[in-house]
Amino acid sequence: MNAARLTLVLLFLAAAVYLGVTRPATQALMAATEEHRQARDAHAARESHLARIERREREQARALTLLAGACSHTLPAVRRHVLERLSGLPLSDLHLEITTAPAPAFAEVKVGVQGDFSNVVALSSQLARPDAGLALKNVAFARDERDERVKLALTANTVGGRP
Amino acid sequence: MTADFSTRRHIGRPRLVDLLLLAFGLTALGWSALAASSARRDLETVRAAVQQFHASAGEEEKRVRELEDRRHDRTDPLARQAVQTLASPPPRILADLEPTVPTGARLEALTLTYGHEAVELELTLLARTPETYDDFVARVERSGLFGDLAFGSENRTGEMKVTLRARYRPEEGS
Repeated sequence: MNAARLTLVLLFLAAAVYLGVTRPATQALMAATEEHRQARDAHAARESHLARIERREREQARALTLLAGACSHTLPAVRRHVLERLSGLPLSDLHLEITTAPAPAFAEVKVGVQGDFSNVVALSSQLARPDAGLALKNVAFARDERDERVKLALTANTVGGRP
Repeated sequence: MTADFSTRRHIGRPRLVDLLLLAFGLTALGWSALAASSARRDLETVRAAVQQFHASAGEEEKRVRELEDRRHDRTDPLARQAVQTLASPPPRILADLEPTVPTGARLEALTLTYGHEAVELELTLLARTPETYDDFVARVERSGLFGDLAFGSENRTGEMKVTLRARYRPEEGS
């Protein structure tokens, strides 16, 4: 066999390897790369979703612990605790109602009051502070049409198990 | 001079062109083999990585399901109330709302509801003219702090008293 024929055989073998192995493997690699990209994107989306849920869980647990630790778990103690926060501000027409609430809340606190806008807002601020131990449910401000006073109606829950 | 009459093949020195042809053929075969080997190796690596993603997907989906189930249990509204109370107390929402109220308009009533996906607002505004109310709506939109606006009915003749609902979204604001 002369060199030219041997070269042709080698080229034929090279083409056979390319067509039989390299090209199918390259095509499979392209498909697998696309599958890998999709799997990686799906993984990133799941990770991000998971991180969001876990962060929210941590925030909720932290907030519940903070509020539960701030308020006692008997109705008289809750009443005293809320009255302490209501005193000292020039407000009128105070209405207070404290009842037990279904777990995981302990009590439901309803406060109705009237006063100047700034005093009413200051009270809402005091009742929303972490040391008040209240998780707000509903807060309504309404301007009295007869004078410039503002009515505040606030409903909140205390957090924590029953004693 | 004597003639060579033997039947043995005469092996002379290889010609340069033959050597070049052989080198070309061998190079092509070598390149092809290397490319095949490299493609197979890469394919195995990528397939292994895909398998790894598929294997972890099951665990991750299970964990997401667990957390989602826990999220929908009975503690969730209270937990959301607690988080929203600390993050969005009424004075903060009022402070964010104040710049949106233009001259010639005033807030008559505001109700904040905690415990849903976001703090929900229902506000009643007294506006001297329809344009004042339009200005208020534009400012609310521009602030980026209040989403999902739902408008009450508008009687656009002179002074207007209008109710508007929105969700407070401080994390999306400018």
